[in-house]
Amino acid sequence: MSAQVLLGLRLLWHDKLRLLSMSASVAVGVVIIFVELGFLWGILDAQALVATLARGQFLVMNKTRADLHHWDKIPAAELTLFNGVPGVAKVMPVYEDHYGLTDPDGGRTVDSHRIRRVILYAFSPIDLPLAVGDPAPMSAALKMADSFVFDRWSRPIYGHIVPGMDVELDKVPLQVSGLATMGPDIVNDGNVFMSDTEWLKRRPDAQPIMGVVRLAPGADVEEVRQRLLASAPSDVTVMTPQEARARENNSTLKAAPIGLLFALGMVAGLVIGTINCYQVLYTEVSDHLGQYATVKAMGFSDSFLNGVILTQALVLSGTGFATGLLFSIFADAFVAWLTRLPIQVHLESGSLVLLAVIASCVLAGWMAVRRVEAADPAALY
Amino acid sequence: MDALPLARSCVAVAAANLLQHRLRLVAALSGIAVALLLLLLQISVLEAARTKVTALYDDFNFDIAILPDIYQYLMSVGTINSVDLEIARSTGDVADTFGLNVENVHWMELPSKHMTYNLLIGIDDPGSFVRDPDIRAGWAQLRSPHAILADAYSQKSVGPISPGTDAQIGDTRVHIVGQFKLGLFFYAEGATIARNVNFYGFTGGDPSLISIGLVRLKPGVSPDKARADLIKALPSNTLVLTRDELLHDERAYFLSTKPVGIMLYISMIIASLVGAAIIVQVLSTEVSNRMGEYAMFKAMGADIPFVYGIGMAQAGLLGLGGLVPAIVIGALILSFVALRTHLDTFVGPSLMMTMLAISLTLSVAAGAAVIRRVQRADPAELF
Repeated sequence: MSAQVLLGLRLLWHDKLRLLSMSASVAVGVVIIFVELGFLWGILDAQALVATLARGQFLVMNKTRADLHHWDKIPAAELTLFNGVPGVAKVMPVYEDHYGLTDPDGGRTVDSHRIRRVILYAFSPIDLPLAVGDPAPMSAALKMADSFVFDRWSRPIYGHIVPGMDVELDKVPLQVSGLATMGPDIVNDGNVFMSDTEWLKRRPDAQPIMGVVRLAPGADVEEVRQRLLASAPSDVTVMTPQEARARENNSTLKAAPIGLLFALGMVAGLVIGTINCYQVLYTEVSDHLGQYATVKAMGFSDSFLNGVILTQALVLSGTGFATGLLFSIFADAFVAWLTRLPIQVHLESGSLVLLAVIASCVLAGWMAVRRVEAADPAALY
Repeated sequence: MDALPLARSCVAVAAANLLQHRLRLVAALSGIAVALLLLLLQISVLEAARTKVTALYDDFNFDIAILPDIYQYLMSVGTINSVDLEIARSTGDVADTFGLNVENVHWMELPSKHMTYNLLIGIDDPGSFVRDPDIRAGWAQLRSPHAILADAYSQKSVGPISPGTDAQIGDTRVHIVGQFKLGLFFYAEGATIARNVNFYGFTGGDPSLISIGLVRLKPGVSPDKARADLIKALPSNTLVLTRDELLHDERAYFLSTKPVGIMLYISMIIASLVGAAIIVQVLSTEVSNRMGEYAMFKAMGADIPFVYGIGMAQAGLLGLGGLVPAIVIGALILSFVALRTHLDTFVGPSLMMTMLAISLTLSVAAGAAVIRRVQRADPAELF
């Protein structure tokens, strides 16, 4: 380890409480970036949840359904035809509609309403097209007559709903047969799930909103896609869950200024992180100005001292990132609990923030170096 | 020393202190400005969203709304029977009623056949209910069964919406005869208004059902009494809310239940804390670095208010110095947001005063947290 790195580390390590406070200053910027990035990422993840949770290689939808939150249907008969396409193991229809769920507590927690809009998904209990819980208990719960499964991640406006309870769905009392895990988004507050036979018993004319296509083992994805497209009517589109997700992200960002708003928040976090790092390095240099001047008087060059400062900047970026990351994990969990959105630190977002923090601390170090260069041995006495 | 000369002296010394290290001052002001900018953007967008979610209701004069009991918000309505409006009139409290219909429909641009989603609004004869002058003027133009008014604030993806343009709602060809301004981009890419008699033709809905009934009360009738009378008279599948209750519920739902409102509130709290933390940090370093000078002032017999005043003036100058660029940059960004979304985001006098109050509060709090350390300045330690 070179002398300048060693000196930089020792200067920081000398006062551990101070190192902690300096790291916390840098961490403030890290937390802001993580929180704002988490908001944006969480909204995009939630909006595209149906695509993400699909247990298949393709989604078949009505072409006019430009995003995943409109209810353009596809005739069930058309979906059945896809079962005959070579390479397709199964096409699983998913029905969706919105219903009024009566708060079983009779509570009016937010406003005057007792009946809350909830999204109902219906599908086969044998082949679950969506990954919304452990398949075996989910299947068993869906098979129960006159019942539905409640999404435990729904917002609390629905009241306290537990399995075994009788709850009115569009004023028809039904039993809650189990709990699933899906979560709301920025449009919808909660979900319930029902078997397709139960659903079609109540809505005989209902048509699916999409079909989840599962391929036969060994089938070539691209070849099957071409076959599906060739056999699809002109009003039907075929896309992978990843493609549907990308389209949804694009549609969400276009529809609302949230991208701009949270991107500005991230830039703000970056600027604040850089400035805080500069402030702490400046203070560090000011406090050790005498020592730096002494080192200079001993004949060490400015570039040696610059190396010391940049080492400290890099160390602070690491400790600041670690502190910020730790805090952000808790902060994201808290916001996720408040909003019921999938807000969390991802590996991708973590790597992105780490790079941004290193860059900002190096910039701050470069700015603070000027203060060291001004250290004058003659001013020591 | 009198208050004014004392303040002047404090500000002069504080300004000189801050200006000594220019780069550091710029960095500190940038940090504070960014935190205040973040706060300003969040406050403005939150306020604009609060206003926008009730924009359609704001276009109407009414005292009470009759809604289906499954009503959640404007785009999740359900229906009530139009007979309910007759029942409402029979209570004796009601001067007039108005049927308002809303439905999300497919809009097809012609001749490209590009499809988008559209909020179709059906209205009765405006009478004394419609406030918006464009809608009142446009009503007279809605003579043909295919005539509609288009929202001038619709998104570009909707295609041309100038009067004289033809398009398609569902399978029915429509003709745009006028425009109004609404801009409910979070419900649909565009919005249109049709007469209620034609609304059902576009949607295929049952003409005996309406989405929302608006009620105007006779002069002197209290909304609370009328609400109680209506609840007694109307079937149990209806929800009766006064205008204030409806607007409050609509806003509360969007800002307290929906995640974007919660996220904006959290961002505002974080931005406030960060702004205060930066001021504390800068002042703290400043006080530490200038302990000798403060001790010298004390040795020279300077009053404590003068010594403290310097610290508070520095805090105030930092807060105000950060506020100016935050407002300038914020105004530019908010104009861009308003241009893109038609949200009423702008830096007006009210927002400026709010930001000034926040900046000064943060500065005073940060200053108060730090300047107590000045007390420790001891002239005996100078030499």
